[in-house]
Amino acid sequence: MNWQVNRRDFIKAQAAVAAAAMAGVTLPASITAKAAEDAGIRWDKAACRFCGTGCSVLVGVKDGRVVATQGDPDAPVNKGLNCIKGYFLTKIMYGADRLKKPLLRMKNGKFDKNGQFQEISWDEAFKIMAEKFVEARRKKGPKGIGMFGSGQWTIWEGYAAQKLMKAGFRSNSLEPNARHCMASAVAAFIRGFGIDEPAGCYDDIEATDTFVLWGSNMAEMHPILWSRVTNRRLTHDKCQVHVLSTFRNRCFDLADNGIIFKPQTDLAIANFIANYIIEKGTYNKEFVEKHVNFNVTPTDIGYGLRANDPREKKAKNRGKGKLTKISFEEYKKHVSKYTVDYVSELSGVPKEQLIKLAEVYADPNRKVMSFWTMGFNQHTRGTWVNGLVYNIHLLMGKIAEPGNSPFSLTGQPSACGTAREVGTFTHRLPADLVVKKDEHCKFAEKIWKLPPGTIPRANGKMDGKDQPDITGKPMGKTLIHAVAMHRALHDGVMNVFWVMCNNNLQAAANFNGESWPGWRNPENFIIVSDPYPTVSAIGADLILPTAMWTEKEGAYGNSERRTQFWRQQVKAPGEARSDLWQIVEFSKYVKVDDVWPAELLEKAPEYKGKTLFDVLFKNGQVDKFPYEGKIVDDRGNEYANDESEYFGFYIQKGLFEEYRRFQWEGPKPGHQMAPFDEYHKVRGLRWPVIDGKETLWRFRAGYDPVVRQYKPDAKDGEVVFYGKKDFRANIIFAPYEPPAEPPDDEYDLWLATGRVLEHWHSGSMTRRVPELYRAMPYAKLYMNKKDARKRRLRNGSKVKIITRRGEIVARVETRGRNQPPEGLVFIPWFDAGRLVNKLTLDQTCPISKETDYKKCACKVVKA
Amino acid sequence: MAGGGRKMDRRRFLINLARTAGGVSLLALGIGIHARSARAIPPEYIRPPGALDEEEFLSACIRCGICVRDCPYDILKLAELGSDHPATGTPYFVARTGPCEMCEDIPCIPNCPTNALDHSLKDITKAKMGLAVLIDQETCIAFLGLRCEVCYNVCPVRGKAITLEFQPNKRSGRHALFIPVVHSEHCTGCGLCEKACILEREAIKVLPIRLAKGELGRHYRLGWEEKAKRGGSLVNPDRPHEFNLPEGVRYDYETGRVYRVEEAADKVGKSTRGGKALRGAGQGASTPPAEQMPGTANPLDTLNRGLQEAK
Repeated sequence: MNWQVNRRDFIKAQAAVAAAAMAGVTLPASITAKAAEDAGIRWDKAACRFCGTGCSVLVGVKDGRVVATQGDPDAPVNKGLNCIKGYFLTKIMYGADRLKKPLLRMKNGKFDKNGQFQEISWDEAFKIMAEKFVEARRKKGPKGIGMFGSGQWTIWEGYAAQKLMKAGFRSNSLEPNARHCMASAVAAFIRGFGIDEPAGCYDDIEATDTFVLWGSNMAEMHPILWSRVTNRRLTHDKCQVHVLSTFRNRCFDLADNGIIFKPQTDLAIANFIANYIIEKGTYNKEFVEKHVNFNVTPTDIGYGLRANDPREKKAKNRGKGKLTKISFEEYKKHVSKYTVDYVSELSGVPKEQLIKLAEVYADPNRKVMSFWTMGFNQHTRGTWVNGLVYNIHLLMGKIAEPGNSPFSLTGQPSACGTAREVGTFTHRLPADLVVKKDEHCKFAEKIWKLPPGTIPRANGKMDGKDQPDITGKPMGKTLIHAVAMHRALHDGVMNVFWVMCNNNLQAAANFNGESWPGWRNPENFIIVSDPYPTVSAIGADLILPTAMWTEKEGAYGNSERRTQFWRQQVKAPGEARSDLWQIVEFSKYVKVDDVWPAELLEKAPEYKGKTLFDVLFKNGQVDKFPYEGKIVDDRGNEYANDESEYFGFYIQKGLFEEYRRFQWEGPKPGHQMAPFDEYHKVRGLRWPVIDGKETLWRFRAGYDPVVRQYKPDAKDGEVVFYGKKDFRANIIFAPYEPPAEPPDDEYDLWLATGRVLEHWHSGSMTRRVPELYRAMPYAKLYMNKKDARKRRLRNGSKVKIITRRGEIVARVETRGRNQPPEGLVFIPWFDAGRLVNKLTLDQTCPISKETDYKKCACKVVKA
Repeated sequence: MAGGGRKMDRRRFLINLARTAGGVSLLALGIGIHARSARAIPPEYIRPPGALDEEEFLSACIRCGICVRDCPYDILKLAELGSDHPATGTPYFVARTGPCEMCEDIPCIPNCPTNALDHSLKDITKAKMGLAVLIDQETCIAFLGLRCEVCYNVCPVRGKAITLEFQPNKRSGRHALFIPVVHSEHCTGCGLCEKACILEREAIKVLPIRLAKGELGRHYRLGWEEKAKRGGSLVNPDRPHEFNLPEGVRYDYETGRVYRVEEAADKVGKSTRGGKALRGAGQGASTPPAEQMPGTANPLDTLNRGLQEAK
């Protein structure tokens, strides 16, 4: 803390009081009290802890505590504003029940799966973890252990976890909760463009004529961005807002065309628009000829359920997604089935509304920005339906320029920055590399100074030969996605599971059938790192108390490719430690010899007898930057950095700089970021950042410097989809296919789940803020009045919501912010007292493996 | 002292007197005379739905406590002795701590033995317990451009009693303001908004109608309302206007905007675009009986108790 600044502020405040006193004015007591309160607050910037919008805030610290925050007026995203969650950031770290000591289930002084939680030391915690990890890894192979991280991890936490699991433990069993959140978006980016994340940025909002929301309740889930959309609609005369959803939500307040469609028929609506454009002949022929390939994807691909489910047995092409090239004429024929009559009938949307929507895309002189979030991503055809909207934009050439922007909104604050860019998925490595490709793994091994063959390949083979494993058997197939992890725990195939920075027991679908039995399976050891006693903590065997948000130095990447850093502002309570510290310190407890086979160690004999810490983090790169005992900002203020203090080097910088080598030296340029120190000076930068310059629109020469790295002679304004070898994006035809579990006579309603403005995800932070708890204490079941009346229910009635998998109790809300049509009910999942995921089906998009939380059948009866 | 028109009060008072002329009237009147000297109810206390105007209510209410007993959410209280309280023994609630949940069947009314709570009130959305007033626009964070709208979200007279008006945020230049506006025609004074307001001291408060409402002078009429009431102009409707314009150019008389013919399609139906207020859907709130807020217990107890779900 800088004494001088504090002192100056204090003197200033005192001066105001003194001046008032001299003038004979009596200041109100509240003003004098405020002056004293504000004196000596140290202000520094941070990214908001909550959604993917990426608002910047200023954090005020006094006496070692965050005492106030303010929206950062210099941040271009939010210009000093916040939503109601961001308004209460001050309070999220100070719930009375913060966890401060590691806790282990014990009986008679020993670990016992059925014991009561008791306090232990960090040393004891890591010892038992190491024992369990090593045992499961040796016995059950690479999938015997698992780690489940987060799109709320800081960038370096994700990167450290990536190294620990893929290089250290030689296991690809690493997944983020982002799998439940935007995996479909990623799959569609890779299939369509060969590179992840949007071409455009938020500035498209102020440049467009039209917003189309496809399954995104931005009004509540991206509140500050919605504020920008609203402003555009109010101030730009030509602007229209089209909203598509399966129920009326708050976005409809602004809609010029509010469309309620039957669940799953968004597939047909998107194809109708493509058909309309082609029939009308207004598609951009030049763009299509130069920049696009046409493809078709396999159909009848199942629903990502367990293999023995009758619906999976029936599927002809279960899980398949290999594209086949077709001609424009063939594509035209495929979409020709989707006439306005057919689609209106199927979707329940009046023809005029469909045409009004198609018209905004078909008009070459109208700019369109399409937004989507969970309505598209959490969809059993999520990869397809993402692609269908790219089809429309590509047909019209409405992409990669100001105002024309298909924009996949991400939900979490660093789903992009950490989960996607660092690649904390089972199949990914940093900077869009994948473990399926031998050469990508070899590149990562080179950067990480590891012998070739350390990282498990997707198929367990390097150079066509089996990779050896510590089990003595060949490595075998190594990929396992989030939903499969819970199934593996249930079946006892995976025995150790470490959950960090998310509340997966509350969040994952089919609690009764898969998650809970998996977590409580006596063969399994579950570790949960958490600041609070969440549902996941209750389901754990070992709980690690965790430092959160500004109790550590951090970095997030938002929806528009903007990377934002913050410094550690305060200390965590008790023995709570950051996820980064936990990952790195734990690596000291495992020897390379315990998890690598002798054949691999022979290739790097210098690593024999070393710990994973020595190999992964004390590798001459991560520990390259000295830590001077404090962090000093440009104003001379001083900050702590507890991890660097502990490990003896500037660990966040070392990790970030090593990570940057993937972006700058890797085989897929396009994700370049600026040096570490730059980010502490700016309000975020949108990558690729080359020569210190940000990129607003990608794939267009002149705007995106990466274009000329691939195609040096590209002319200004030329579009080059450099993610694909032939520089062409893919239009991918996919048909309408029915949902997995439509309502029937017994389970006669659609159940959709989601969020509300007041709470973040499972509510572990926001429900501990008294004001937010008061504003929205419990989850309510939003229901159409007519459906309520039919069941002799009314507003406030207590009901049981029952599906084939479970039941919960909640109260009916017929006059709420969400107004479902007849035949559909909606319930948010933030409430730990009403575990909505007891109801949901663990169905996924078979390609992206992302869960569909929006569509299953339920019935509602009086409780 | 009561709100609303005087005539109305007098009529209702007379009707009420007639209704209560039976066995309890003498007793009620006796207490009433005593209570009247106890002054008006302080503004932070609100009477149950259907309560007669304060003076009549005090005459009619026999302090039996039946309405308090019948309130399923236990928000109604009986006033205790004290100078800053409502008259001793009469029912009230305080919006900030326990607002009226607006039960559809209004269970507090039917068993009222004296009609102090008006039995003719059958539709809770017609109740007038008070009027919500967004009293402090300086601290309400919606006026500052933050995305709150909690009052709008919890309002049970969805989209009618509180609406949002969207306005451009001139300070940021790229965001909008979502301004809550209370409509007295629909507000029941239930106080759910006051309870939910996230400020340390609420910016929206339910006040007695006598304090909350202004009254227009009787010498003036609002032209647009009179026109709407009549369904057309009060005097000769205006004739169509014609204008001197160059070839291909049109003038929209309503908006005063000049445009070329080819743009016409785009303008249709957009003429009132400008600062048009958009009304949205609201939300009802029916808070289930109290459960413990997370973050208040010893974490070890929470963990060792296991899952706690709503029954």
